[in-house]
Amino acid sequence: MRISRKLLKVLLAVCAVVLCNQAMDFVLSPNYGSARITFTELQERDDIDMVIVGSSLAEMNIDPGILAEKLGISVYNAGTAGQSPESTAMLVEYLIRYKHPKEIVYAVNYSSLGNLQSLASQIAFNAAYKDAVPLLDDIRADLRFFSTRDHFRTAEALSCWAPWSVNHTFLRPTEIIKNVIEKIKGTAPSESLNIHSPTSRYYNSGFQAYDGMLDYNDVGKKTSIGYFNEDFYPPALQSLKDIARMCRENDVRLYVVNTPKPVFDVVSYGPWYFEKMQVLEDLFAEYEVPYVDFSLAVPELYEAKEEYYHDYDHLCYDGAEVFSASLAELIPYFRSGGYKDLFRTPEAYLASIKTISSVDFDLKEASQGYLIQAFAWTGSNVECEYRYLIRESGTEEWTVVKDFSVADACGIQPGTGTWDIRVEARVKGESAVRYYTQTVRNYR
Amino acid sequence: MPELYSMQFLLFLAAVLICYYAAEKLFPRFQWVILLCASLFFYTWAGLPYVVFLLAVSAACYRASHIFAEPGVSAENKKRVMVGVLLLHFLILGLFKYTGLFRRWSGWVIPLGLSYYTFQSVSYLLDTYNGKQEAAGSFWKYLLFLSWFPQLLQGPINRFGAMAPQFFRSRKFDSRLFRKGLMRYGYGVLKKYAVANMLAATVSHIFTQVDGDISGCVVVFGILVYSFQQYTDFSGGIDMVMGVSELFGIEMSENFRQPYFAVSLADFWRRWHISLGAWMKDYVFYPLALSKPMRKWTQHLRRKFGMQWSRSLPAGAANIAVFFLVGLWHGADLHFLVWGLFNGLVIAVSDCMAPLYRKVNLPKKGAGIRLFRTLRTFIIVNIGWYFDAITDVRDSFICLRNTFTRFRASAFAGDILIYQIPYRRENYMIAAVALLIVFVVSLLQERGVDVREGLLKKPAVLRLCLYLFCALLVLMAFPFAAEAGGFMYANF
Repeated sequence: MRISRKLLKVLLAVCAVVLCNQAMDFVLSPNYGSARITFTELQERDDIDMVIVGSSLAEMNIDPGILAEKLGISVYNAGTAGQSPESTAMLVEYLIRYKHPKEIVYAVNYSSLGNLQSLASQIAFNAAYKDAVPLLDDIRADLRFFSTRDHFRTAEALSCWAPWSVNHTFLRPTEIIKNVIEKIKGTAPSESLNIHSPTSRYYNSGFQAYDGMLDYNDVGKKTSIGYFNEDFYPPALQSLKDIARMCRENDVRLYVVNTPKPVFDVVSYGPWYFEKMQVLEDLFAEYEVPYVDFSLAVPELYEAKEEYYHDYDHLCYDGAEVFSASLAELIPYFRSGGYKDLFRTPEAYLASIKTISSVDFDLKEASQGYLIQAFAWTGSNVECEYRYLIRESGTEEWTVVKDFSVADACGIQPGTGTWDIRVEARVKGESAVRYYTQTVRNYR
Repeated sequence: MPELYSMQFLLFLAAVLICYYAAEKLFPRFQWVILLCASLFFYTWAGLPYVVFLLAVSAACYRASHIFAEPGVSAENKKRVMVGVLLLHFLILGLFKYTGLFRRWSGWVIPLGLSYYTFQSVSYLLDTYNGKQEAAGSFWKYLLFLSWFPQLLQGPINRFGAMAPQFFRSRKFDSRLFRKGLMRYGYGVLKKYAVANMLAATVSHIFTQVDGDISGCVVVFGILVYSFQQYTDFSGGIDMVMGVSELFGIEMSENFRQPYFAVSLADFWRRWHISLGAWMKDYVFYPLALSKPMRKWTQHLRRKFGMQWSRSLPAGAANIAVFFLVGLWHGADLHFLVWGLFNGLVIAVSDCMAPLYRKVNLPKKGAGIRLFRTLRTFIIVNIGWYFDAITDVRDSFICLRNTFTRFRASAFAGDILIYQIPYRRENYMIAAVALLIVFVVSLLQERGVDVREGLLKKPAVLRLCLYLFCALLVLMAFPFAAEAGGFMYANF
């Protein structure tokens, strides 16, 4: 009798914890979460011929509406923010089992394959996936989650059972109330996104795009190599193989597309970028899966314009439209096998760049003052000139320390205080200038 | 090394608990063998080669303790053995902890729990040598004392006499003790993840960018944040390991007793890292204070200056030596030594000035004087943290100078932006709410209330609400914990 009462108490406590967790999930999990949108919409669709998968590179860069229109098939964009290759493998398995697509386009680039992936995104993906699959797959999803990355060993990963704690709406009372009302009213997640997101808009079939263009004078170290400079993470590469294998075994045609990047982001890696991309090409070649890097596309297929980019990884809406049209043009070549002629060699790509994409500089303390080492990210045959300027922070007037010359280094000796230092760069003999500014506090 | 709050550790813990309590039914006399196997398994997580050092220390110390007990061995030989084994302990500790060259050459890191098990082993060695402790019955039992997995991560420094009777008796599952253990573990999780991790980046961002212009108000803010971060990190970790140990029914030495309620620096050190302080008192302070040269000096002082100075000067010198070693224990960095010496000096000086305080005739009791003394001690402790939180002594002095000469309170909001702390308002809100819970619990404990026992008597619904609220704080903290990292005292 005593044991059964104790057991009852434990059961009641467990129920209370589960209920609280569900309540918190209802209140805080955003109705407009990227993975939530994808799985909610996917469940309603049974007519998909082609699915686009991958992280925000897929979600924000590829408009399935354009592909559908140009190819005359039904296309859905199942890209979700921060979708890791392991999550993509789960998604592909889900698609093959429940949605039977004929073709899958997988959008990747360097940032998809490192060890550094957002845990919140993975937890959000896992939660949305679990909502869409039967109970047994639900348990398998958790087992997979804890067997990937460092999830088995880290404290944060335990939050996967309370996804609302890492993936929540803005923690402001008005936002929380709005989120709850939308859920009660049954507002479509995609509609919610347009209400809440300050930087992007939802368009159609899982596709959303960023507003606003990249400021090339504010790039500096904000390049993908600044965040993803490690080797490819071996389990991520294994997931790519799993994806390719699953597709081959189930007669699904897989196309892997490295989405276009602004010049500075490719060039800042040096030769490393192309060496690593070759790893991907070789990996997919083993499974006879076409892999292309759109940064290397010939201008007849995709002409990369600077105004197409929102940041180093993502296109803005106009860019996504143009890129999607190019991708639609490429698909028939993928099917027939003649796509390779539409992409240049790295050398030809680097030689084709005639302008400066962005400027960066390192500031090193010297015995007297600082040494500036400047870099202009541009093509292999471009000669650059640099100019060095300084001003006291908060003032307007710049003082030229060294006028335009080919010297990519310069010493400065600011007095005590806070200073803005700017490096300008231009192609030799031209007037268009790119610059970058850093602030230094000198109290030595 | 597994994180104390992770799926890996929780599964390991669950498996060991099941085996341990099942063993009570199957072979109760050897229940402790489960703990030994689990501890060695845990230790190998940190790297198999490091087990060698643990085994070397255990074997040498265990053998020495039996030599001390042998009747035919001369006192001189016993002393030689004791000194030899003592040197072995400090040689291994010194090689790893104080010679970066060795670590670079060997490619090894500091073995898990090295400082803690070395100090435990030394205490056993000296106690058996001095006849205060009987030698352990078997090597494996002694090995369990040194390798007990909850203590390896960040202490406390346990004593064989207190642990052995707990390890080696058969133990039935006690749900009340178990729940208390869970509560303590959860309290530790709250401290570590909802407070310490919320504040970590504030401290690192401020004190890694010290320059001559740093505002005193920013420094004071950073130091205050550090004092809460360090306390919740260290004591939170200790609560977690104590809780884990209590799940097995084993109570380890207390390491904290509401240190920020201390009324003097000496009192603070009786409440902060208690097991280290007690170790230093027993194996450094008393042997030093009672050594021949010190006794001679005491007699000389008594003749020249009287009773008071003959007591306080030798004690002060011994205290300075002790705190120098406390600083050294934290690491062979100058800032740790200065921090240790600062504490030693303040305690020595305040001891010497005791007669003066008596003459002033301040009231000894009352809430006001208690509050005054607590605040005064808190300020002194925080001055000490200038040399602990800031790793460059020159920067410590710059910060100390600017605290008094360049405070600029009105410019705080603007000045703090310079340090680009990757935090949002939520960090400080979560930390503040969790700190309030820690404060209330500490206040109750200071008044002698057994908080966990009291809580167990409260209605289940109330308890559940409280647990859920704390869990909510912890869960909400994770997305905001930029650059938090592991436990501060995990690499000693």
